[in-house]
Amino acid sequence: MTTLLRDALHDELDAVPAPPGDLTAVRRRGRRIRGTRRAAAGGAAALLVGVVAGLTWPHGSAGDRGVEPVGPLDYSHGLRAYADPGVALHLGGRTIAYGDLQGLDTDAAATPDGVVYYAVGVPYLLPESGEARTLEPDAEPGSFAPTAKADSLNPWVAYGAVLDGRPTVVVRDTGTGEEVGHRRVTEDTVIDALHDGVVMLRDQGGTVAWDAVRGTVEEVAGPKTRIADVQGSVMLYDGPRPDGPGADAYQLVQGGVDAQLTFDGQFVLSWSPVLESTGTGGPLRLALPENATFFTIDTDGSILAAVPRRGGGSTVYDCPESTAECALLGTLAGRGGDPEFIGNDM
Amino acid sequence: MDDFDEFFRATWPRLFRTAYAVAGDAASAEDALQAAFARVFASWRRISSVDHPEAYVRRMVVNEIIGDRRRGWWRRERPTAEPDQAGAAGRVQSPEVGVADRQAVWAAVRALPVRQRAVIVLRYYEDLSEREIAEVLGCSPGTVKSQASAALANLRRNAAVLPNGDLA
Repeated sequence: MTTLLRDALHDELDAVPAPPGDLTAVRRRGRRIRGTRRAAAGGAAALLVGVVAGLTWPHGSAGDRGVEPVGPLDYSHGLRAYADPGVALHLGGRTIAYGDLQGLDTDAAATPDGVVYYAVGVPYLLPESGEARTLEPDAEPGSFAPTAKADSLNPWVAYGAVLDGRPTVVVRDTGTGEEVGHRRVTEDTVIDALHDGVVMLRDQGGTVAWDAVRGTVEEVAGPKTRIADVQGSVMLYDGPRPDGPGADAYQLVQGGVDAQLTFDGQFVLSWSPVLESTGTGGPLRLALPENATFFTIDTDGSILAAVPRRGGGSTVYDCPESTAECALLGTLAGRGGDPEFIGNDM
Repeated sequence: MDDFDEFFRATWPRLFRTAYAVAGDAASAEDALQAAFARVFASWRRISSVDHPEAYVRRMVVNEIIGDRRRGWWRRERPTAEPDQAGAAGRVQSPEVGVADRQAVWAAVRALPVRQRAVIVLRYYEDLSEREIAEVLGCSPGTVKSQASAALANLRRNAAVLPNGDLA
C-alpha cells in the first residue's frame, strides 16, 4: 500500500511540468512588502518622536506636523498589541489609524512597560502614558538596531544602540530607568532571547549567554543553532542541539525558530491552538477554533490569537494559558494582509 | 539578493509540485508559491539564516494553501473525479498493481479534504516524518497521525485497489 501510494504520487507529480517561476513578480511583490514595513517604521518614528518632542521641537508642535499624541494607554491586561495592516493598530485598549502609527510592527518589542522600538537606530519606549521617551539619550543614530527582547521575570528589556561609537547591547529596567548591564558586541549581533537577566547573543561565531547582572559570558551553541526562546528553565532551539556550558542549566527543547514558550516554560506555542508540552504532560488545547492561525504570547503571559473568519478577515482573542474561555478583543478586516502581532514575526 | 535568486530557481520546481499536489490545481499552486516567495524575499535576511530555508518555505506554501481554503477565498476544490467515480475506477480489479490503479489512487488523493491531502503528500511524496509534518502544519504529531489515519480510510473507501492494513 505504502509503495502504491508513493508510486501513484511520484508517477503523477514528477510528470507535472513546473511552470517557470516569475522571479521578477516575486521580487516586485516582496519589495512592496518590505516597502510597507519601512514606511511603517518611518511613520512610527515620525509620530513617536513627534510625541516626545512635541513641546521641544523648534519648528512647531507634533500637532503642527499632522501627528497627534497617542494619549494614555491601558497595559493592565498586557499590551494587547496587534495590527490590521493598512487599517488600524490596536494597543493598550486603544485603536489608532494604521497610517498614523504603523511602525509598531512585528520588529518592535512588546514589554510590560510598553513597546520598545527604534527610530533611526535610537531605542525608544512607548509607555502607558502614550508619550514615548528614548532609552538611550546618548545613542548615536545608526543601523545597529537588533530586535529588542523583554524579560518575562523582571521589568527588563535588552536592546542595541551605538554608544561611544561602538555597537552595544544594553539591558535596562524599564520601570526605574536604570541600566542593569551593557556589553560591547559586533555589529552583526542578534538578541535571540532574554530571561532573568541572561541574554542570548548570536553573531556569526555562534550564540553566547551573557548574564547582564553578573557580567559573565558562556558559550551556548555554534553558528547553526538558533535559540528561539528561553522561559523558566527551558531553552527552545532550532538546528543543532546547544552543547556549550551556557546551555547546561536549561532543559533543551527542539522547536521551530519562530515558536515561543509560555512564560512558565511548560508549553510551546507554534502556529496552533494546541500547545505542546515541554515536559511529560499532555498538550494544552486553548479554547479556540481549530483554524486559529496567528499567535503570540502577550506581555502578561496570556496568548493572543487571530482566527480567520468566513469571507475574510479575522477575529482576535486573548486566551489564558489554560483551557478557560478566551476574551474576544475585536475583528480585523484583513484587507492589507495577515494580522500582525507587535514584536512577533511569526 | 543573488543568493535569493539561486534559492528561488533551485527550489521552485520541487515546491511547485508539492503545492500542486496539496492545492489540487496548477493555478492555485502557482498563486500560493508566488505569494510565499514574495514574503520570503521580503524577509530573506532572516529566513536565509535558518538551517533549512526550504523547509521554512514549504511550511509557508502549504499553510498559504490551507489557510486560503479555510478562509474561503478559494472555492476551487477541483478533484478530477468525484469520490464515487474515483471509487468506481479503483474497483477495477487487476492482478497487477498497474497504471489504472495508480491513477485511481491519485484521483482519490485529490478528492481528500485539503488538510488530509497535505498530510498524505508530505508523508508519501516528500517523505517527511510525522514530527516534520507536524512542524509544517503547526499541529501536534498526534494530530498528524489522526489526519493520516482518516485520510487513509478515505483512500481505501474511494480507491478500492488499496488493501487494508497498516499503511504508515
